[in-house]
Amino acid sequence: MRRPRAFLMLILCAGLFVALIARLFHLQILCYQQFAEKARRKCLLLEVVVPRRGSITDRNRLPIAYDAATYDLAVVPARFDRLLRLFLRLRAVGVPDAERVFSLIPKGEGAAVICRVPERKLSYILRAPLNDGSLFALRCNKKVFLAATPELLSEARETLALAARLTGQSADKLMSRYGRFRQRIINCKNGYERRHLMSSPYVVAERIGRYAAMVVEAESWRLPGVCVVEKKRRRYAGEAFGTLTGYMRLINAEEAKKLRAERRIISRGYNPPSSYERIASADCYFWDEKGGAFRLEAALETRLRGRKGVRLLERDIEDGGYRILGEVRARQGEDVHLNIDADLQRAAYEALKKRGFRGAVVLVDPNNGAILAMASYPSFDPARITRPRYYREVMERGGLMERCGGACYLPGSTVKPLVAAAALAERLITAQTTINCRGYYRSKRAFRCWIYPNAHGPLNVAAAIERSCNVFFFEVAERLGGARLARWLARFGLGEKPADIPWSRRGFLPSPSNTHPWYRGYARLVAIGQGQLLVSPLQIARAMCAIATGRLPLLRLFRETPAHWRPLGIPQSVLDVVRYGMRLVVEGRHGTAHRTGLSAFCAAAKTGTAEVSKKRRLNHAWIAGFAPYDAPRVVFVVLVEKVRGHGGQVAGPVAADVLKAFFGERKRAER
Amino acid sequence: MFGLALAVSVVGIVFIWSASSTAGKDSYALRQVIWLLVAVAGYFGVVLFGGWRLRRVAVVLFGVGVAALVAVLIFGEVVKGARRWVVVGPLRFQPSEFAKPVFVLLLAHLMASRKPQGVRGLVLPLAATALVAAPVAAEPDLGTALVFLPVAAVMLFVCGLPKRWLFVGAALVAVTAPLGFGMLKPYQRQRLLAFLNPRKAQLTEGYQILQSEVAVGSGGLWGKGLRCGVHNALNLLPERHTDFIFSVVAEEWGFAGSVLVLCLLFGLVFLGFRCAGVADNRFSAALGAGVATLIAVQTFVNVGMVTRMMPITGLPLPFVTYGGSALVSSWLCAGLLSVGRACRREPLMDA
Repeated sequence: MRRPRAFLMLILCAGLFVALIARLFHLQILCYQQFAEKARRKCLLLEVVVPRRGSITDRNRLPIAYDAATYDLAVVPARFDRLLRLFLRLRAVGVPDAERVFSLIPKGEGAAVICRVPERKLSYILRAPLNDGSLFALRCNKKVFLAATPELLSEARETLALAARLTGQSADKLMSRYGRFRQRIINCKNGYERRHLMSSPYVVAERIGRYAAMVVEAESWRLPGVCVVEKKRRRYAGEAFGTLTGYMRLINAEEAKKLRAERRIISRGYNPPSSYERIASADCYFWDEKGGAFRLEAALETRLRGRKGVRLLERDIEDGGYRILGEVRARQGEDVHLNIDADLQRAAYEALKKRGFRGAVVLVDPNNGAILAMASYPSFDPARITRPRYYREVMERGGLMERCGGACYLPGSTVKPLVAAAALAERLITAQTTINCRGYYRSKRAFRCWIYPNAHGPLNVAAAIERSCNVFFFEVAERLGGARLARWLARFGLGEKPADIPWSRRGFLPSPSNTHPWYRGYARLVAIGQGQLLVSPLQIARAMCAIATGRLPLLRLFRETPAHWRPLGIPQSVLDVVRYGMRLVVEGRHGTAHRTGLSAFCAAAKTGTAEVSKKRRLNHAWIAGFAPYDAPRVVFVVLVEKVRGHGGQVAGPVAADVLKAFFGERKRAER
Repeated sequence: MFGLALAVSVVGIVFIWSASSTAGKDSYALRQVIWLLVAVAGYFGVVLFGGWRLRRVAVVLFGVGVAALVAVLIFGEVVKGARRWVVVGPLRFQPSEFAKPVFVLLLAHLMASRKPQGVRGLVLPLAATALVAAPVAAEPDLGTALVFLPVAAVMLFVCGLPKRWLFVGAALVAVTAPLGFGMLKPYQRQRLLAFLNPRKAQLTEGYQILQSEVAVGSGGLWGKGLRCGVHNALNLLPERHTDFIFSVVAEEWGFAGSVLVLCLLFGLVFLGFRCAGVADNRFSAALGAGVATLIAVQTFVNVGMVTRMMPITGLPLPFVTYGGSALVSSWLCAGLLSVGRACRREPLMDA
């Protein structure tokens, strides 16, 4: 060895290699388990299976709320807007006011000169997809100019125009919408985000219809970069059902916060395999998922939405296939069937809407407690409610209130048949007992009859119901006493949940035990539906069912709720007297609902007029009853909020309309 | 010697095929085969040209090399923020790769002409180093630029640099290193920081480091078999057919395969230093030491980067990495080594 220094360096280099091998030994042999596990995890793939949201259907299985496939028109900028690509390249090489490329209008056949560019940037600018000759360089006095054919300049615009023509959209609208998106891409600072925006479909027109979607697919050869995106949207049967079904909206910030705290938010795109357990064990939401916000959609949320499924796949590197390591099947959303009859519901809603009455209409089948219609006006279109302008409009018009079961009112005289039945059952009066109405009870200042300063004279119970005499019921209340009256009203279902509807209210039934001050004579107020008594239209409907059939049913909105009755404990003869009184309300000469068109349906009814504002003379107008009189098939309740005029006058015609729809329907169905 | 180089190159082509076919680019391996033919031709060209004639054209070649380096700064094509490529017709070259053998040749020539002692013996080699490193650093390609320094140092050392200069050099490096960090470009600094704490930059610079480490570690003793690497097959490792080819080797052939490749490369290094040790003239000694150092340093930096011992640099793994310039350059170096081994003292020339 002539040069020991070379040997020294060899040793040094050998040291370097030994260091490398030692490091490899450390990674590959000592830490093998740990890294192998990490690598294995990279072969895992998590697939989230999204279930279909269940639909809500009426008693004839007609859809009230359902998921429908809709089609959106979308464009992928990277694949159809080469002008944008050109602009980005020009900007990248530092050409001033590169925006000009968008405003160049091609004139005739000639190419348009765009700008001067540095020679050495040409290869960059002219790369694919701008290398088909539509963009070229012009050399002139040793300067290089970039020129484009008219085709290139008008390409994007014409593709959009063609897409607009084929789908029947407005070309200007598409262009302006896309233009805004293009500006967003241009302004985007982050390269990754820009690339993502450029290469993913952007929706330019929503809901283009099945036929238009098909046309776009068929003509895709001349629509480069234009595609159809399928999206499930919730459809609703219309305004009449708005307050009943509620609507869907994005989960809001609070819910999102709660969900995030519970680790129940997952991504639509990539989810790490480690979240398998989480998705399998809890009901997870996408961060941009819509959830039921109101009424049925909210109340039935867990049933309707089902449960997301998840599959853990392991990719087999050798054959490229997948092995299923674990799977939790998605549970499809349940379909919910209602007892509602969609046509009756619409008719009921229309009856209120055409008169502009705020209020509620309830139709119930007294034989099984099925709710046939529960319309509430004003309502809203659930499909549009999430649009801010429409939402504001609805809010100004009266909000989202559901008035059949979700709101309580003073019942007015509609409780009188119940009081009468109570008194008769307690044998405090008989059908023949007469009480003289002098226009007032004991003192002229308080407890007057509604007819004061006139008087009804001597009345028996049927006539008192017919004329809705207050004095008669003051006397009856006096005989019954507060506690007994409250007990009897409770027996008719006041003060308790009337239906299987989660949001239905209990209302308030005053009794000596829960009301303060319960002064002497308070029972008299309750007996004519005043005081603190609060009931919902559904409760009144239920009480009417009891009078019509002699037993108190549970009102059923959902088909699956089993029919359930509670015996009333009132003899048939007593109910016959009350029913006769209610019959007189419609048919009698002095009946408060005389000549309102109800007699055509052999209806028996009781009106109610609850004063809410003496000063502005506003009342809640009620009418509640059943038809036909001898074999009740339907119980109806109409409430009109805060109107001038008497119950029969205002609510009677509405009830007549609804009954007309009911019996018309039935006749058609029977035929 | 030839056999060793050929073996490493073939292994390289196998893994380029493995790495690129999973990405759907089968033509890379074929192209590399063609480049290998070109490179082997270059090797024989150098060998047949002969040592003494090479010495005569060394200065001219170096001049051409530096000119090309300067030219790339002006006319080069920008790829990923650096100007490293020259386009001539359909071909693309990386002049900094060709600068490596040329640089070794020139330094060997200078040292053969004058023993590196005293100021006059040192000025020319150091000037040559600066001349070649500066334009490369300006591309910017700091990794390649820094390779020239240890190569020059080892060549000088082996050819008889006085000991006191070693201390001066070491002191200079120690002083300039902290200053150097301040002058780094932001992306270079980020790479360094990503190396120190890869989890912090998991989506950018740190991503490759972590992926590569897992790929290497999951290889185990025998590896997962060709084309069965998870990171390879799932396209999780960018640049895996170029700078990160070794992580594919380590994942698919495991510890055994990686050690085999390293041993082959070390065989070349060993031959280089043995040539330097036993040669009877300074030219051979310098060539041997230079080529050996070049291969050793590049291997160490590249494999170090893949195994997370070193920060990310753009240094290729000699003979293995995909790329015509790198492969031809490696084979030219091998040619120089052969030439060095063949050279015998000719009294007339070495006088």
